Amino acid sequence: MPVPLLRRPLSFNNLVYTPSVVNATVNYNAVEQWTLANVSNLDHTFHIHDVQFYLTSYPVGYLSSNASGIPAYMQGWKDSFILPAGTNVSFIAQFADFASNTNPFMFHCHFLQHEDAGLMGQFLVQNNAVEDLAVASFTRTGSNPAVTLQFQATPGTTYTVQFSPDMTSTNWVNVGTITSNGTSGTFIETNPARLSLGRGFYRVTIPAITQ
Amino acid sequence: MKYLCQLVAIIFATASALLGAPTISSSSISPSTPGNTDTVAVTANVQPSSGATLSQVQLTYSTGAVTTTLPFRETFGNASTTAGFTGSVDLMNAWTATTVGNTGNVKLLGGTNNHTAPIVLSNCTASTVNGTTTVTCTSNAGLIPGMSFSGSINGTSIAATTTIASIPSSSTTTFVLSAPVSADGTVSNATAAGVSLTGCSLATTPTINCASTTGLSIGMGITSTSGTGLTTNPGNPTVLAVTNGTQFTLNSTVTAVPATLTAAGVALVLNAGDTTYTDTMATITNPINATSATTGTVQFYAQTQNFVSNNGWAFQVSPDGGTTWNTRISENYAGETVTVAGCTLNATTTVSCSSVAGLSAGMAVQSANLAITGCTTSSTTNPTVVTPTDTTDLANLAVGMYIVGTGIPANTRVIAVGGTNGANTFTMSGNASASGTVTVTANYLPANAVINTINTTANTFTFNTGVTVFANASGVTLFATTVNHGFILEQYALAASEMTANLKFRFQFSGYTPIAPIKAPSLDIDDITVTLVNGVPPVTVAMTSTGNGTYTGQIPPQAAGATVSYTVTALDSSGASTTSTASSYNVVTSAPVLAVTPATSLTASGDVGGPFTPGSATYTVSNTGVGSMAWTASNTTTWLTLFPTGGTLAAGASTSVTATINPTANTLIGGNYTDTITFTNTTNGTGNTSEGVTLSAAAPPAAPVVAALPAILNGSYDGVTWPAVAGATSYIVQVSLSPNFSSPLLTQTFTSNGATFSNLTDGITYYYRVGAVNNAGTSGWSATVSSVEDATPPRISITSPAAGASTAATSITVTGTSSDATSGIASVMVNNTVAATTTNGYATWTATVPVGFGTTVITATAVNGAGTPATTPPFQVIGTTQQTYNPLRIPDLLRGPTFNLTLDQTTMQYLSGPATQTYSYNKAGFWGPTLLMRQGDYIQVNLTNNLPATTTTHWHGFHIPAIMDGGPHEVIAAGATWTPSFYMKNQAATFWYHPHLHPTTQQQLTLGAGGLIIVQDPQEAALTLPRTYGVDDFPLVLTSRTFLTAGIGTNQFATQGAFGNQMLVNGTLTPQMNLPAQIVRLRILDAEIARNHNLGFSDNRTFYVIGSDGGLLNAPVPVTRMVMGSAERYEILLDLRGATPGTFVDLTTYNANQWTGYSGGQPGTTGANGSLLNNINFVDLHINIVAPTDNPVTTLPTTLANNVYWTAANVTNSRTVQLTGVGGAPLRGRLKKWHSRLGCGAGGHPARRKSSRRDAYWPHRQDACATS
Repeated sequence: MPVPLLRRPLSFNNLVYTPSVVNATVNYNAVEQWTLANVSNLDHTFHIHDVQFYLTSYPVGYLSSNASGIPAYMQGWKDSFILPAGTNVSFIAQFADFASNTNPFMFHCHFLQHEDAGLMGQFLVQNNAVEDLAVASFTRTGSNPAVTLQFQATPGTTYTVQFSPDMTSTNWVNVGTITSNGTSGTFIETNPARLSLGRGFYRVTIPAITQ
Repeated sequence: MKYLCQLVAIIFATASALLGAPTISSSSISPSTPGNTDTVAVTANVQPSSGATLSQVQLTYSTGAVTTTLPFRETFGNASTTAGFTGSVDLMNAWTATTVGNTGNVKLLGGTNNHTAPIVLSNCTASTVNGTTTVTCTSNAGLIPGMSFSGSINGTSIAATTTIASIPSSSTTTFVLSAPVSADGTVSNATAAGVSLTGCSLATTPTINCASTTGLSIGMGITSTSGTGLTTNPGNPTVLAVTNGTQFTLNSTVTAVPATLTAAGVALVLNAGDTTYTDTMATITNPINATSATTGTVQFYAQTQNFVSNNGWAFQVSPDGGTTWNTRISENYAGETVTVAGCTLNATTTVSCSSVAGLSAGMAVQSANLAITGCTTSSTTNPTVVTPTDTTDLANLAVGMYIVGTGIPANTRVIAVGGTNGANTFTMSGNASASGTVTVTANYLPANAVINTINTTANTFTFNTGVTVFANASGVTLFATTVNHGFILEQYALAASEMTANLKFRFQFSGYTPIAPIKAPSLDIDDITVTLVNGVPPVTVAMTSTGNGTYTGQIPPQAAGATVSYTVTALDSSGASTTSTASSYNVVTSAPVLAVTPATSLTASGDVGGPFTPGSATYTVSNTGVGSMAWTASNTTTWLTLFPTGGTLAAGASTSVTATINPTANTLIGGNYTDTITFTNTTNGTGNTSEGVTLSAAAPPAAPVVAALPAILNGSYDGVTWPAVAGATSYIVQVSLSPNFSSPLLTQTFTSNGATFSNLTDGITYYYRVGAVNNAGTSGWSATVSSVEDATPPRISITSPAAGASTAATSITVTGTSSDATSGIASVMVNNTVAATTTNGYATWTATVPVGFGTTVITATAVNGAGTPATTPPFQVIGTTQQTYNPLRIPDLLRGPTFNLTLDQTTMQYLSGPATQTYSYNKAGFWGPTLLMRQGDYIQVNLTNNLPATTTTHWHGFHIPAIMDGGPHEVIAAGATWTPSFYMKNQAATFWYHPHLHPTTQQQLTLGAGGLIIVQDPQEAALTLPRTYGVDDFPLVLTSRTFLTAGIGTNQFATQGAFGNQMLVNGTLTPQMNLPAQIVRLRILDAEIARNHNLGFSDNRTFYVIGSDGGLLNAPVPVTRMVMGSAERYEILLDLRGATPGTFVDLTTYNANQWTGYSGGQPGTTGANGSLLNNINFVDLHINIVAPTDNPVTTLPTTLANNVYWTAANVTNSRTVQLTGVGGAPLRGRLKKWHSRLGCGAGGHPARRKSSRRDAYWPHRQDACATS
């Protein structure tokens, strides 16, 4: 009996889009080369969120017969391209500025019927360490009731402010969340117990965004 | 060789066994070859002389240097051999715990005397080892810990602060000092006295401050050294609590305190109403007449076993025949302490430690106490906040710890440390009964924590029920305590008031609460001797029975190489004694070796539910070494039972262990299971062995559930599928022409959960069924499914009009014929218009289709009963009526940075008849306003979803946080407003926004939801480029739609299918626009569902691409054609300088004859991928040239930007993402048709391939062998 070649769902890496599954993680600030290998039997257009990329490899003879296969009008910042059946296309992009351990960006075929049928994946730009580890400390010798922290922030991002009485402690305690609408976030300490301490440390951690 | 060391197994009494003397008839030792770790049991059968009773049996043994005499014991656990006395004694070998009395509470235990005067110790020697000085005197009677100790050792003075630190419970002669003394040897002038307290003053009654409370313990009596000055009420004060290093409280009200006090030993105090000393277990029922005695003593041996927390016992004396009882000797929970470290306490009652060695069930467990002093509680808050002045231990205080202290309720726990009440406070779960200063201790465990079960393999133990273990503590050190001890001698000197005619004794237990399955505690009392002295000689109470029987004594382990000689001496009431002939044995070095045979695994198998064969295995466990060996056998699973699981084997002995697969195995689901039998030599570990156990439970899989088939299979998929069956390794599929499968056409094994077949014959009904297979067998057959095969497409042809016919009308009537031999014709469509049948079964049909100006392509498609379509080759008719253009819609332009958007249900009147239902932003009808954003602006969007459905709005191409991105996760509910805000970080380019809700993106976009975004930045602003929106800078959004033509859907957009039949530009059907004769900028978006546009102009002119998706190109790129895929944007400059107003040029899509697979090059006009615009060239936009504007842009820039792009050298990570799957119909089936249609003649399409492109099969081909 011949090997049956059955209809199989269009997908990335054989995984149909599943909202709860993160298909890929990218390190924050990484410069990545992605190669899209179209091993399906159809043409597609590929689109990735978050970044503008630069094409580095394209099959010759489809859009251009020059050596790179990339027509001159495609040699610029791109977010979408035609991915012919049976071909590989590569691009390079940097995943900068925005990181989240919880909120993914999408990549997908922009043929809408394919996208809706699950030819879509999602990726996290992840910063596993404390993001932009900003540590503020105070030492109080006299009466100084106020502690105000200000830190550079990405708009629309929610940061967690943590406190520890001891910098070497592993026991950082969440003391507040700050959502920045501008380029800086401000945290004003109001807890009397912490305000009564002679010394303390604060840090700003990666956003903990929930949907 | 070892037998040579066994000198005596049986001995006989010596010749001194004269008539009238006790006889010792036999004696033996066990084990027969003692090792240096073995305790040797000596057993002798002893009988008193005729008419006499045995009064004493002794075992004497010697290793040469030291001779030790031990009293014999009855065989342990055999109460029936107990010797009796005048009056009867019930020995307490069992604990029944049936009676709970209320006779009083022993507050203070450990002795019977108040020692207020110094005790003179005699014949003392001292030795100091590892910093511990141990003193041995003639007797340690009367000493208690805490007493001061003075004297000198070999001339070295003992420091004045030295006290007695501890007294070994097993010794009557030794004790340990609180501080080491540097000299060993004879102790001179040794005396022990109560604790001397100096610098004392009265704080607040009953609290006394002194310079130090070192050595003071609860229960000590307090007196003034001078005998006066301490005034208390009542008198005889004792210490109630030691508060701290300088303070203690009394049980009495204190009115005066001298500077110097003495704390003495303890006294028993019974308080009415207290509730312990419950069970009267043993009473010497017949009173002893002691009136003639001047002094008297009672002595006995006591052994405790399985004593746990709060257990105790007491020896009581009644001078009046049982009316009044006084406790004279007692012992309570205060025994050995076992320390286990590295314990983890969690929310369960199972505790895991580094090792549980030394623990036994029933032990009470506590963790180290944290003493937190100087606490101030405020009972005005609930829970109580505690503020200590000494914060040293606060750092170790943890939430969940138990707090104990005066006035603090039981089971009070720490619920917060620090926090809002202040860093140096903690909060208790309960409310203290009073505010003020308290001393508290904190502990990981509640006071009643008692070990229930112990797992020595896992090093865990569990607590008795009711113990809630502190959560989340690890590395804790725990202390377990017990009072179990072997026989020790207890002695009591009768008081003068007790020399009565009705003197009675009894023994009692106390404080026992039965907790299953803890073993019942037992107290063994033995060899009670009452001696009454009335001058000389003493009167000894006689035994009533003869006492003859078997006695066993135990000689403790001796050093290897020693020769131990021993004798048995019996004394009877006649005064005669007999000593056996000395026997001896040699002590060898213990080296037991564990051996297990056979060294084979137990491998059993069977079907699920059992039985399993073999059902058991028997192993022989041997001790092939020297000296006795303790061993265990253990396993970990519940389906295997070992018996026995341990024991002791003498040298050379062996026993059998049977491993049995028990009925639990019958409940296992199919699979392979393993276990390990571990044989352990717990004496020295030599020869530890493991044997593997494997159990295979096999079960055939369940029958597959085969999906029902359509009544007719159309050949695109000839086969059956079923969900994978758990445990199946393959499947058997049968195909038959009859439902009873009497002679199947095919019986074949598949490993995937689907099967397809080829070469099926049209018109035949095939029956299918499937079975699942694994090693245990085959399931039953699935239900049978069946279907009629019809792989042949229908036939269809057009009979009228003739190809190339022309008409001045706006529609033309098309007629034709169709047929399908197997399943008939279900429908006929002509250019998406439903045809009417004019004879049965569409043998002939007719349809009226619209005709535009110029060429109209006509195709007809028939679908047969199996759903297979067939389409005629296209042919053209010519419309002679001039085309009417609609003016191009230009979306409104909104300027930021704040954008207020809505998404509404709207309509557009595209065609005569019903309006077309649409979705649009800001009610634009189709395609929303264009948003103008500037780089660096902080953009705020207020987007209200007025649809009756959820949606999202994605900013295609933007570099913004994921939560602002508007992807499938950022859902906007119906009626909700979404307010994303973000910095515009992108470069100047053309972007767009559109719904991105999974999986309805196609539906919402098709209905018109979308809009363009123009981003500007300073770099672009500095260039001479057209940028006046609607004047020389225009958006062109290309997309196509199919209008439904029948029923309630008339004039509505088809929301399925990849390719529309009619182009829309900016939502305009058949659009035209005016452009000035100058350089103009067109921002083109391919907003198609899937179609590519290979764009050019009808005069084949060159145009200039200046920007791609995300920014300006570095320089304009001159082209005559440009391919755009779905979602791509390009900005182009159209050079109309010098063009003549009144002339026109058409923006045209040249999609004919593109590469195989080109989206929009599909051959069909109907079906999911069909379109009237497929694989042809067509006009998108008619452009009329008009006069130039004022201040036109008349130059083409030569450079635009200095973008620096990433190169491979910048890459920090590479990855490959495969785009997988097989879309459309199965290739195999299509290939078959492709080859078959080669014989169809001129009716088919030419193969559309460009020579430069890959030689691949066309996957979308939907043509058929149609006639025309």
